[in-house]
Amino acid sequence: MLDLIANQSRILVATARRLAHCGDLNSAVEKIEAVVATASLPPLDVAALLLTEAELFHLNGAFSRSYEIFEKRIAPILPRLPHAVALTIELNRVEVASSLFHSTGVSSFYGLVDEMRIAGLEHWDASSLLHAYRQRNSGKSYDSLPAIWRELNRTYQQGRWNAFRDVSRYMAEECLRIGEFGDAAFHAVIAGNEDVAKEVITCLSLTRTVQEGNRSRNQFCSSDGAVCLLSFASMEDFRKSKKLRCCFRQVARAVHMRS
Amino acid sequence: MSLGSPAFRRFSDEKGRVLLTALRNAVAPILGNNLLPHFTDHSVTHSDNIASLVDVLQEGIKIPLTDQELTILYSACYLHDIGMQYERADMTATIQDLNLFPTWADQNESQRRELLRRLHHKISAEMVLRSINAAEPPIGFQLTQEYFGTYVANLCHAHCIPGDGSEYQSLVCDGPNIRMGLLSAFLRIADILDESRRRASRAKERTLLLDVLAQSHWWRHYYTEDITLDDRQRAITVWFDFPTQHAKEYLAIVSELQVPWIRAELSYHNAVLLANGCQWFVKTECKEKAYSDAPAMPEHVLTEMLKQLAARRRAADESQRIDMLTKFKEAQPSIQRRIQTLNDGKSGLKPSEYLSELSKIATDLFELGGHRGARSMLFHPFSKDFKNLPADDRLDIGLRLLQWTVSDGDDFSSRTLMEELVAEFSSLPVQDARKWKFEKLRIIVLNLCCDYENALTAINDAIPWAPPHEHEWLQAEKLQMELLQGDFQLEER
Repeated sequence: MLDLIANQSRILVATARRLAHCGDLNSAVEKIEAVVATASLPPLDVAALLLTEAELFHLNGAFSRSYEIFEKRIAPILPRLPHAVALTIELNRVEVASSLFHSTGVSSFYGLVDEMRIAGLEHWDASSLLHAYRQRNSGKSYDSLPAIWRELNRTYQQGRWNAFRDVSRYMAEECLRIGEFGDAAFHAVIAGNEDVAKEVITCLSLTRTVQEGNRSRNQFCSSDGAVCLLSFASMEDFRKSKKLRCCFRQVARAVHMRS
Repeated sequence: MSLGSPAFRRFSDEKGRVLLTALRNAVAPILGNNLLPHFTDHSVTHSDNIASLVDVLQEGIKIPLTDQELTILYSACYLHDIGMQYERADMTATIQDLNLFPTWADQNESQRRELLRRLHHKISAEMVLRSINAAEPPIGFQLTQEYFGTYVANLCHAHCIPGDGSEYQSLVCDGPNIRMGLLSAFLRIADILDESRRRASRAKERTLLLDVLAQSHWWRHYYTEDITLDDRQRAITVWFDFPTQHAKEYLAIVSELQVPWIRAELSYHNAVLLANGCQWFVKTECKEKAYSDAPAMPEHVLTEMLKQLAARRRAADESQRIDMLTKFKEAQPSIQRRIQTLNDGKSGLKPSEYLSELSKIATDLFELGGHRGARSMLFHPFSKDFKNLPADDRLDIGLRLLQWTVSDGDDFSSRTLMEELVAEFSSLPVQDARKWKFEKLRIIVLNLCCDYENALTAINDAIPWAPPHEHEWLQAEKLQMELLQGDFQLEER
């Protein structure tokens, strides 16, 4: 989807996400609303911007608000969008409906899956991920990491939320494997996956112990913000958190520190 | 259009009319057997309609049909479906050759009906052949030599088989002064055009236990209010009448079932109709009516129609895929011969001449759909010898090959090639559009290879000289990379 919109809209999508990840959801929404309200944008760009807004609300746990955007603002423009884009949006809507235990919204899921099959669409590129997995098992990180990175880019542009989160999880695992714990923490949170987050925490805890033992804690902290976060005050919060999507603010702070 | 008992008006004299009237009256009772009651009307009325329609279809013909041709055509109008009404079809070679088990007599009624429906064209042809000068003709009428029975049999056999196949072509070979292709075109088109409400009685439908497929045919006929021919405009107009509240929905479905079929039939015969000055085109009419007495069809019938459309579209998709594949395969021998010729003469060519020619062949192959083949054909020879090429060729071919490699998803090769070409493009002035094209590809390749730092550097380096309209692209790429890397700048806060 993002490969079909104007560069200006792509910039806005990235900026809004970044703001939200840094804890400033209001500014992110304001920026999107300002453009949607004033500019005469093509329907595809409007849909991409509103979908971003809906996703940010959804990630922030504001499911009803997210669903309202789908129902009241995106639905009317769906018929004017390319079929593949409309289908992606509808599948995201089902995800929000599912969070709301909204049975009517969820019931369309299998019909949408059939539509995808008939249209020959696939949101997950299984062959790329299999390639990455094989390369990883052969110890070829120089090949597996780029393969997952390309999938991360592709799924981000495609706009199907859970496909992007899935690949973020693979990215987190790959980063863990090659010892990039800060990146692993970031991708684990984006993935919203508790299993991989626990792995990250375990690795970080072990590393911290080693680092502290070597009296190099300060050096370690300044080298990677995400590690800082997890190795200081927020560590307990992170551990306790059952819903990782609540951790945006913490991770944003961590990444900020890294920069 | 008013149809009814035909006048056989195209005959030049009364003799032909007498012949055809005799045939019509003889076969009418057989056509009235109605062995397939679940089908739309196939009685003599259908044949009469076709005989009238072929008269209209001939309007404007450059050389009018001769009486001999007319006799064959009109006879076929009355005999092409007669096989449908032959319950003793086990007497025909068509059925005997099937070596049925259980035998014809032991088949149940619906199995026999299905065989009659599927093979009626061949059974009709056989019945016609066995009626030529026969003492006990199966059609109930002895076909004397004035009827040219063998030609009639060929038309009967050809009337419902695929019009673009070799079997059809062999059946409609012209005879001496007999334009079989044209006669067959008239018969087949008229047969299809007689598909309207006239043949689908609602009262009769209500008395029958029709399966859903038969019901869909009934309703399709029913909603086709009429099919009219305007010989001045050369237009065949299909008129639809739907219940007002469903008009839009039904039109999309029923017309798509009905009209492409007519268009396809006309397209089979386009050449022969054009050559004889009687080509036609099809259009549809569905007037919005405030009141219509047409009832809505049951939902399960509508679903059946949609299933038929889905099956038709799947077949069309498959056919298109096969067509593309066939074209691709057909091109391979020619490409191979060109490569062979080039390789045979390689020793007499300079490396640059060889590479230049190989690039042309690879480009042709790429445009034919052979993306991977084109890239692999050119990649190594280019990497080995590109420095021997003239500067412009080096840049043009290199850029094209890099684009192919990137779009083929081979990022390792893309990076290798990109690094080989960096020096070539960096020396170009910024006004040369190729410099930016390459730089854009370079940024894409660096990002795809997960070389974040170098990709960001490349973007920052390109900003001062990139064309102004590309600045937003650069910014969008940069922000996206930073976002996905979790490398946030917080100046917005």
